[in-house]
Amino acid sequence: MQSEKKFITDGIKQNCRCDGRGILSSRRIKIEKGVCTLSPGSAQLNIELSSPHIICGCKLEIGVPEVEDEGIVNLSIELAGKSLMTDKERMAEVKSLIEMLMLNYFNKKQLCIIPGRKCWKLFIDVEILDKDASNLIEHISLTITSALEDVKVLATEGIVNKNTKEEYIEILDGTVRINIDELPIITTVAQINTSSVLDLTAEEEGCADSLLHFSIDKNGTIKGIIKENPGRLAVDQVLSAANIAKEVAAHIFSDLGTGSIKYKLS
Amino acid sequence: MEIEIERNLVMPGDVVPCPTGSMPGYGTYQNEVGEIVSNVMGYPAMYNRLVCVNSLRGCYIGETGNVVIGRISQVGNKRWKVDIGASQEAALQLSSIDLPTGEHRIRSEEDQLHMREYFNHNDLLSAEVQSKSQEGKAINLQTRSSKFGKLKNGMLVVVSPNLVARMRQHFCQLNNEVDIIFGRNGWIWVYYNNTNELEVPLIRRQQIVRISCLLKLMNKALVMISPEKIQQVFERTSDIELEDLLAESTLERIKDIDAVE
Repeated sequence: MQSEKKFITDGIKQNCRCDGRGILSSRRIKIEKGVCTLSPGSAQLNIELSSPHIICGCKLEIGVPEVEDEGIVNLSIELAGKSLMTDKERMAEVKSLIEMLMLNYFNKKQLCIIPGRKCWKLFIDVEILDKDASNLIEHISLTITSALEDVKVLATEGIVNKNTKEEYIEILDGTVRINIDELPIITTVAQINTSSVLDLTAEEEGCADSLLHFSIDKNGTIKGIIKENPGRLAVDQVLSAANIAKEVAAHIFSDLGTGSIKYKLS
Repeated sequence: MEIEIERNLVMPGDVVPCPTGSMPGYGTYQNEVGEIVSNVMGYPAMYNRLVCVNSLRGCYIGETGNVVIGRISQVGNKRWKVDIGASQEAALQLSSIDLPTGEHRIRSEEDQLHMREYFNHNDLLSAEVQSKSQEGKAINLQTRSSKFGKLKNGMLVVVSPNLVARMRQHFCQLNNEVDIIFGRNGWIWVYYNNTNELEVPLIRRQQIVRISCLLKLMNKALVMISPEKIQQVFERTSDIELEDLLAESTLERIKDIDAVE
């Protein structure tokens, strides 16, 4: 174990990783939209030459709002075929990270139908299919973004009868898309022996001193940073990592529409 | 005697083409009509009248004399439990290792206290299957030779065990530069041969990584793995940059190289 770790960390020092990449380049990922026919919006993320990675489906139903003029967003993340306690705990961690960094910035007001009475409840279900999926946070955020882009909501109009106070929901022609312009994506920059590394594999994740998750929106504003793992960071390290994350996010946003993403920074 | 019937892939539920009077062997069963049907994905083979299907994927089954690579999963009383990716449990007895000093004596209690210095939890090691228990449920390993033991200066590639056939030498050297240990359990160790643990020079590392990537691709392309084959694939893909090696285009090329023969 120690010798394997040494081999990996030495490789990162020499800018030659165990799959031939440099430290600042990613694997090619492919995102396919609309994979589940029964769901109003879904997406699947695959990594080139590996088994299916992550699948995400969205479901909509009408419910009662918790906050006056906002809808409800519900996220669930599951690891397929595993029920070990440690895995479940990890999934709960990942879920809270995604909620904090990403879904908190989702515009819930657009899901409102009748303020205080009726709203859309949006369920986002993420299933992780690969048993050694890595770089989870970033990949899940991309899958969710693509799935939300794919969602078609029935156009509705809420009507309240003024005399009887009865509520009606009228279904209009056509569908509307969810507005995700403000929704950030998450990019992860890892620190291994003071070098910044992008898109870690599962083995490399075991060697990472610290993982920095940046949530960045289309304009390049950083909306949140969370650090995982116990490594120590200097201020300029954080700054350089932030610059790298910004560049990565710009690459991702420009490629997200094409469904095939691979970035390489010099 | 093994006769390959036809090198046609069969799927679970497919009827295995075979002459009348054949008997179902492993990987097959006889249906109500009397046809022999495969219950795994693989290539059919005939041993006299016995029809078998060698599955392409599946767990490794230990055989005496095989070279395997394993990871220590537990340090126990006078023995180590080793994970070799098999359905059986593998154990390495304290008495079946070579002491670092090289002396031959009965292991004392003192040695038991130093077990973690020889092999610790999560260490990788190469070993040989010494024996199987009577029901075949447990495997005993041994490292009583200088070529076996703890692994260093390299990386592990896990491929399907069915792709690693028995070969004359499981320890081999490619181009006089990179050493490879082929474990019959499908775990392959690609490393820089040096007695000390050190920072592998960049040129050697690039070659180690290149060969590991090729092994991963050969596993995807279901190509039988042997030193000659690796050498051949290595030469035919030497024009591809290391960074672009793990890509679908290379996979296609490896499939083509294999199909030509």
